[in-house]
Amino acid sequence: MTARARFITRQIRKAFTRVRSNFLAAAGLIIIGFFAVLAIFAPLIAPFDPYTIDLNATYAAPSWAHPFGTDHVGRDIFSRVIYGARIAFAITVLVVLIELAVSVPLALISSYIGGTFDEVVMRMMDMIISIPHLLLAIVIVALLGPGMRNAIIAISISYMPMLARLVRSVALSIKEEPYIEACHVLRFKSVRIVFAHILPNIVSVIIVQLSLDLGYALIDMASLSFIGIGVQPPKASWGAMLSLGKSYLLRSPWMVIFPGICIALLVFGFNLFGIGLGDILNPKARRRGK
Amino acid sequence: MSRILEVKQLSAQFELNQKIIKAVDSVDLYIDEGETVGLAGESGCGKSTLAFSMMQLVPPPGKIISGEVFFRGQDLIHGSEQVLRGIRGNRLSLIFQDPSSYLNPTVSIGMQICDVIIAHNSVDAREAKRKAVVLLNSLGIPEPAQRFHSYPHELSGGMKQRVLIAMAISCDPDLVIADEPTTALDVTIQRQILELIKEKVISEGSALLFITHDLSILAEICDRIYTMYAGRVVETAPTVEFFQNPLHPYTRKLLNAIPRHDLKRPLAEIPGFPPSLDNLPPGCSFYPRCDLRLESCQEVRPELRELKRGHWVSCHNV
Amino acid sequence: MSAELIVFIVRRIITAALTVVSVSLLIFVLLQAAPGDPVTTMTAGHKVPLERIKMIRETLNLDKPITVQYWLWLKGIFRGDFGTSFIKDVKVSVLIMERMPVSLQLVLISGLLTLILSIPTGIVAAMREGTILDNALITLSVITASTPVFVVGLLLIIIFSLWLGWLPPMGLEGLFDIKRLILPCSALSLTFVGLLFRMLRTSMIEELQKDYVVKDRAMGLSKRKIIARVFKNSLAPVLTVSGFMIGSYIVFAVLVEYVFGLGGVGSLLVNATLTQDFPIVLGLTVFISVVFVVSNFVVDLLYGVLDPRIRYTSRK
Repeated sequence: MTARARFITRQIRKAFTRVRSNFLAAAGLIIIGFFAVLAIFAPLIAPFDPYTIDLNATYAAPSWAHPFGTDHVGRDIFSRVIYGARIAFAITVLVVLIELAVSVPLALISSYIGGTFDEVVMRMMDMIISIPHLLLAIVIVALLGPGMRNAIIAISISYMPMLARLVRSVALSIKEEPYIEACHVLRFKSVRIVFAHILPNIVSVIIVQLSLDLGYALIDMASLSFIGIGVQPPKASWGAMLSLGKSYLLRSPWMVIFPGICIALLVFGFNLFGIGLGDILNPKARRRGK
Repeated sequence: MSRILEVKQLSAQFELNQKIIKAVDSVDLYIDEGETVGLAGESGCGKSTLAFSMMQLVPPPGKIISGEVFFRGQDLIHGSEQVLRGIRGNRLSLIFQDPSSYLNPTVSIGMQICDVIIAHNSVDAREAKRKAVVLLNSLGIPEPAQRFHSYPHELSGGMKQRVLIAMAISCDPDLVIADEPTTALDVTIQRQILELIKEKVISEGSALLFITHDLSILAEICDRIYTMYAGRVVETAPTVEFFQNPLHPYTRKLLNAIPRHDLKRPLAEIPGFPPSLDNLPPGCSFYPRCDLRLESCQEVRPELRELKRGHWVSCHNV
Repeated sequence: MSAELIVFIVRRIITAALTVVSVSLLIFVLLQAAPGDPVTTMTAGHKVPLERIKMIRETLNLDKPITVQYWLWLKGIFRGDFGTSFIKDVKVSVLIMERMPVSLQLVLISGLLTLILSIPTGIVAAMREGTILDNALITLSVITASTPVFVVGLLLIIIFSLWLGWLPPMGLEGLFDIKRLILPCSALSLTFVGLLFRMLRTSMIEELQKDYVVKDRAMGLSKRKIIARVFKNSLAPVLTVSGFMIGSYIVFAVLVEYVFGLGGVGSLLVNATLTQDFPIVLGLTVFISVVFVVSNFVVDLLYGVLDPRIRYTSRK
């Protein structure tokens, strides 16, 4: 193995020990892992097909046959919840990936180039931020047409300014550091400076923000589905299930309880992980004496 | 002459990253009414920690682990928070080193002085304000009535220090502890502040504990002097005796290091570095840098012995 | 009122106005960017007779060049005209006026509740840092922050209306219908209590370590006074977060209105989205954004009042 590869493996191993020892991050990871398993092995775990309608077993309360009950057309809620995990992960991961792919390079390049380009980019970001992000997402989806794909695009767009700003402010402060100036003096190519020197120092900040964004993306997506413009039926997303369940709330509360708790639990997992990660990566913020 | 401050075998330590840092180690100290006492030593030798410990102001992870502090007979270590609050700022007060960080940036300086006055006297706001303006005036701050409403960031370093002094003397304390009050200031301002302290504290009859690393100041104002090294008191004597006849090797080196314009010689220095306080040797802490050292100095820690009247030294070899 | 304060306020007003302009620009651009032309968008999914389409084109000024269109649209916003719904045939501003009282009640009461719940707990947690109470409160705050507002709302309905039967589930009757306001306001405030609590706690912990606190203690000031001053100085970062939070707050109020069937501005938005009544959707978006800008402006003002140093630095 080259020295570089050995170095990287050592870093990764160190990272794992730190995660293990940090209670919050570990707890978060366990919860996330639990749902990930559900998502991956859904066909093996779910007793029923999530789309099968059974008009003989509608509005059934939780029982041995249907642990979470059935909905208004007799679909097994337990199975739907498990398959919902798939959609939940797919959405959040996509949103975060898109956000990452667009905001980070944009912010890095913009802060590096500076000047009018930077000003223009920043003004555009400011414009986007001046509308509350969920509202912006609603408007975009409304204009593009309801559906999961458009919802993902809308949410990603509404998150971009925050990540871009964060990356930019950190990048700007690093840009002034003496070692970057040294790179200039040594006539490194700009691309190399940006991606090989500035980027690694921003990584920790980005990772923390992204892990929190996973949780927010899930909430926002569920909100959009809940209003009816996100994931469309008959797809079994938790948000869509809540939207359906709302109409039968007083009659069959289990249609709402289980998907709702799942959303809360997974977001809780993302949040715990994000907070724990923040603690690990920012030792300066550690409490004295602990 | 009654004794107003009595410190017996005071020890304080910090716990940081699983290491124990002994900042103050079995310190004995006393101050009589009206006396001016000096406390000298390098940065990091524990002088400030000692001052804060005496007033029970050491923040966690620091804590006092043993010893007694009596102020006018009042036990400060075991006293209730309420009793302590009545004494602090009132009978016993503190002037800090860096006025910038010790003033609340969002409250006007006048109000901050009033805070102290109101805390210890039952006067109404108007009266407190009047007193504060009088104080500002007596400390040489121009246009005191307007300056009352200024914020700390609008003032220069010297002015801010005057404000701190004003707070410290506002309730006519018996003892003022000045923790390096001139160190953070420009040289020209240092002299002004020193004169102010002489005028407002010493001449008014309060006792003063002046902490500094600048021995020349102590020569000017003190009745007695203590020297500290690595958390322990190594020598104490009345001022004249102290400067004419220093006994502890560290004190002697310190005095020797004071730049002299009348002697043509290079700047003298003390070789080596102060020990790190989390890893103190069992014997004398000054051992590695001492001229008079013997093998036995490494094993046994020297205790303070009274070698002449009022002159105590902790060294095996004098 | 000092000169710097006036300059500060004027600066902030200008920034706010510019932000409103940029919001309107953004929405205008979005409208243009949507597939099809504005008329198709505005009348999507509805059968509209030809004469009406001509009328709509005129109202939207679609026959004029695009910069003029935008200018007229912008003028309208500053005059309070947010557009007209072609389906309901009524001005958006009228609809907003009708429904404002409900939304106002919801938002204001929830806001108050959030403050009442988060401030004392934040202070206590900061003072008792590291204790079991502190950790319990933090855990609780993360849990409430993780649960989406509508889930909280639905669960509250299930618990308090269905199972316990204490409170009526939905709807609102007139003003100050406390019984029907409890659940929605609780749901909305709970979502943000966690965030505000944690921000305040962190800020106070950091402030408590500052030197001037040592000075206050050394001067024998009472605990209450010290904490009060520390609290005042801790508010700055909290305010920064609040400005941003208010936006989410308003939008979540929309969701709460939908869950509880309250006839406020929020449910108007949801219904309009579902019925594809775009004038309402866009008009409301501008309206809500303006509210957002105004509340940020107020927060900025508070910032300047609390920390005199801010008034001197010209840019945020």
